[in-house]
Amino acid sequence: MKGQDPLPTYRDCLFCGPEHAFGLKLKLRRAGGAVVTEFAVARSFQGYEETVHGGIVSGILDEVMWWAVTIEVRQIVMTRKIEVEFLSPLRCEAPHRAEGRLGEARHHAFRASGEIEDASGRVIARGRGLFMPAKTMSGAGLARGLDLTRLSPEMAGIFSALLG
Amino acid sequence: MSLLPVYKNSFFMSQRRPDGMQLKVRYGRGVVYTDMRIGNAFEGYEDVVHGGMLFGVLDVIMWYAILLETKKICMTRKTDMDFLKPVMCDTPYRAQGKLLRVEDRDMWATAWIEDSRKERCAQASALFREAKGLDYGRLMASLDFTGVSAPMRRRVLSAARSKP
Repeated sequence: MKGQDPLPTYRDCLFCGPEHAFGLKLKLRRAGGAVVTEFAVARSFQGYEETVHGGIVSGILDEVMWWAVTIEVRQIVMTRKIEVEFLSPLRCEAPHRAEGRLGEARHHAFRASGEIEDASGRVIARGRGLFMPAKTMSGAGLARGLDLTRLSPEMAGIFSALLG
Repeated sequence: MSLLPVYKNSFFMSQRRPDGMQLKVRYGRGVVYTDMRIGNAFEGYEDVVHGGMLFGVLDVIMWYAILLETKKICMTRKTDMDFLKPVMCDTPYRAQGKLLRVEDRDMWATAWIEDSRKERCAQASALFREAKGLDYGRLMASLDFTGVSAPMRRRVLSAARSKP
C-alpha cells in the first residue's frame, strides 16, 4: 500500500529483530513522511508493576526516530543525543503507537522527534533526538544484519542505494 | 561497597531472568555503580549495545542514587542523554551515578558510562519526581535482598518507613 511501506528489520536487534529470542519485534513502517509502529510491550520489560521500563520507552522512541532520519536523509546515522519526557506510565500489554519524524537537517546534524500514544491518542512519552552520520557503522555491516525481504520496490531501492 | 537489592522481575537487574541483563548494582561513597559486560542479545547494531539499553542502565543507576540518598521512590520525568562513543557488546564498562539536588518533590540525578580507560561513552542527566500514591510496602516486598548486607537492607527498607 502506498505510504504504508514496511521497513527492513535488523535481525538481531532487541527492538526490531524478528528473530530475536525475546525482543520486542517491533514492526516499523513508513507512513505519510513518518515512521510508525503499533505495539504492545510484554510484561517481561516492566520496570515496575505493569509499567514498561523507561529504557524500553526510550529505545522505542530511538527506533522510530532513527529509521525516520535514515530514510529521509538516505544516510546511516548514529544517535548522538536523545531527550525523553515521560508523561504517563506506559502500561504493559496495552496497545500503543509510536511515531518518529525528521525535523531539521543541516550541517550533517539531523534532528528528529517522536511520540508514543496510548489507544485513546493520549501522548505517553515524547522524544527528541540528534543524529549524526555514523563513522563507525559500515553499510556492509548493516547490510549483513538487515532483512530486506518483503519491502516495496521503493523501499528496497532506498536501502540498496544506502547500503551500497 | 554494598550490593543493592533488585526488583524481582526487573529486566535490567533480576539475577533469575535468563533473558535480562542481570546487572549487579552497588553503592559506595555516595555513588551507585555497576560493572557490566552486556551481551549481544542487547545490541542495536553489530556488536554495539542498543542506546535504549544504555538509557535503561543509567535510569536504574539514577533511581537507586535517589532512593539511597533521599529515601524517596521516584518516577522518571525527563532524561537527557548523550551518546559519546559506541558501547560494545561483551566489553567491560562501569556505569555510575549520583544525586545532584532535591527541590521539594523534584530530584535531579546524573549518571554516565565509562570504558576501562575511564573514557566516557555515554552520560545522562534526569529529573525524577517523587511518586504519588505508591504503595511503598508493596514495592519493598517485591525487592530481592539476596546478598545484600544487613545495614543496606535496613537503609533501603527505611524508605518504606519514612514515606510521607
